[in-house]
Amino acid sequence: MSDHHDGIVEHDNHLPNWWLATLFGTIVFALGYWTYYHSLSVGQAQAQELATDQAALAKVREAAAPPVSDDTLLAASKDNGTVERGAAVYKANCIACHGSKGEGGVGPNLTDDYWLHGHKPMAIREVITNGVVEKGMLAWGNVLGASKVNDVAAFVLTMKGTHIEGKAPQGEKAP
Amino acid sequence: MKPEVDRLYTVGEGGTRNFLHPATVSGPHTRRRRAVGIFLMALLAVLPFIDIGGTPALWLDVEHRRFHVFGWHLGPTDSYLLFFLVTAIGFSLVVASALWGRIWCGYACPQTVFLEGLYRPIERFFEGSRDAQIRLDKAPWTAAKIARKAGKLGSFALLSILLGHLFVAYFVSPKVLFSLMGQGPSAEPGIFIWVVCVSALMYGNFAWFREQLCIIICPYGRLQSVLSDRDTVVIGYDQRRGEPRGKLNTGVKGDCIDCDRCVSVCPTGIDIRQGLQLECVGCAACVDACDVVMTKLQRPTGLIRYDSQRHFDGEPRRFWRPRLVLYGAFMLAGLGALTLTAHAHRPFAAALSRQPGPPFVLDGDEVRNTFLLKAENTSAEPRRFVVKVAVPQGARVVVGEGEHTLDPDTTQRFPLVLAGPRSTGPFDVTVWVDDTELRARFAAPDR
Repeated sequence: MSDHHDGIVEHDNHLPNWWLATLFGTIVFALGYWTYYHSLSVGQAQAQELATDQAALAKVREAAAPPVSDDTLLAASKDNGTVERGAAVYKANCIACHGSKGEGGVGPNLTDDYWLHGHKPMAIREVITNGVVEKGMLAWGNVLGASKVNDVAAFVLTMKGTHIEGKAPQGEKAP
Repeated sequence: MKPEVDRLYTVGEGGTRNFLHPATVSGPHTRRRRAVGIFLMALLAVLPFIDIGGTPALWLDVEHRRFHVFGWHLGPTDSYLLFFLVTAIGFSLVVASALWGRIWCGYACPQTVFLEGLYRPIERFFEGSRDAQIRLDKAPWTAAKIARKAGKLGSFALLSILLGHLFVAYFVSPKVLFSLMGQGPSAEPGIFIWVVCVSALMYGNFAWFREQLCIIICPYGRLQSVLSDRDTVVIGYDQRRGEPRGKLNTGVKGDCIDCDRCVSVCPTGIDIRQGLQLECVGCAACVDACDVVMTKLQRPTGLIRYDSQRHFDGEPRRFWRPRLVLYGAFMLAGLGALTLTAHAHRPFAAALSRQPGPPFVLDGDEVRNTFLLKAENTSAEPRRFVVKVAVPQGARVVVGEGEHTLDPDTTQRFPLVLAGPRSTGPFDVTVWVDDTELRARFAAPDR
């Protein structure tokens, strides 16, 4: 079929039916989609689905890594497996500054009763994780990861009070 | 109904589909095309099964975000290579289009290769020649017709399922695919649905949709008009030799005897004698068809042939044109960028930076600096590396020298603590990570 106007020819050929079916199909689909997800909210929209999944993920993570507290770290310091793992981490990363037995060197003595940044297990963990940058203690949280930090914190707790001759006491005496 | 230039032959008056029944054709172009097609299909079929160092030659492991390409193991951070690959391939295709028109469509496109190499031969096996196919479509539904159609469509379905599995094998590896096939759909429903969907797409495409994809959906064919010019070698009809056309023994002078063989063999339903058209996929079936007729009539072959529009018009052929130089430069730039980036690609990288915070720590007479060595392993294997540090006399490395192991696909920062007497002052530090040399400056207060 074609039309002529002032010598200009316009062809008006039929679109393929499958093409039209696709077009109308997408319109029908869009209506259904909009009703299902947005208007009636039967299904979860992307943002809601993400929130649901993240909540589920948080639960899985919590189950895999229970919350850490002074008590759990103290308990971990009495667990042979954890202490062994912590000792390995200590040997690989901490010896250079704190000495092979925790007697100190560049870093403070870990075996005496004096603590610069708190003696509580969580305080020790905090120092390992975030470091004390102005004094040269590195932030190990990103390097080691949370579970290795917990292990090495538990190991450090086992050295507490072993009184190895080394660097002179610094900080406040722990009660 | 005869093909017209003003409308699609495959779309009927009311938008209905006009199905094509291309006649079989034989000749040098068809043979060459078949050989290329068989080679490409064989390549596609064996690539996932070739083992290179424990992984398939080509395994696009989307689930673990890792591409295994001929013994190369690429991670998500290597996706920039994909950009250069696409650039190189894209510009090569542009050059090929300027030189030889849609040679890709006719010879190498999977749509053509599968349709002409597998599906159409099966169709001809069950339904016979072009004329027999047309008769069968018009015939009433008898048991014989149902048997033929069922045989054809059943074979199409089986073939499509096979291709669906092959396709998915590229993404999950044949080993995983075979193990999943043994366990049934419930083992990995997501992958099963992929296989079903791809198989259904293959079936719908090759049993029904066919040339509609090339004519209406594929964007590459549309580019033909801007990429080619009068010097591009395309399939064309020698009008000066063929016209005026007319049946044999009617006294007309042209070589074309209007036998319509070129139309009946065309897989997209056009009449090449109306000139180069969007629908032409450059398959050269009409060339072979016409040559057979011309040979029988003892007239020279090549009435329909590969040639440039300029030469068809009686002017001398021309090879070099500005567009060829431009496209060629783009292609070389694309290929060069791909080669360089691929050559420079390393699955391991190391960089040295300062720890955020104060540049140095004073501890009595000793100055300490902390650096962070960022190491990145994008390979699938753990990576061991040795760190060595060169410092001037008197200074020492507190932490950081020695051997480290980096897990697959990880980035880690390793601390590097250096110390030196205050009297030494600032100095240059060289760090070697295996053979990579990194430099830094040790900061210290003024003496």
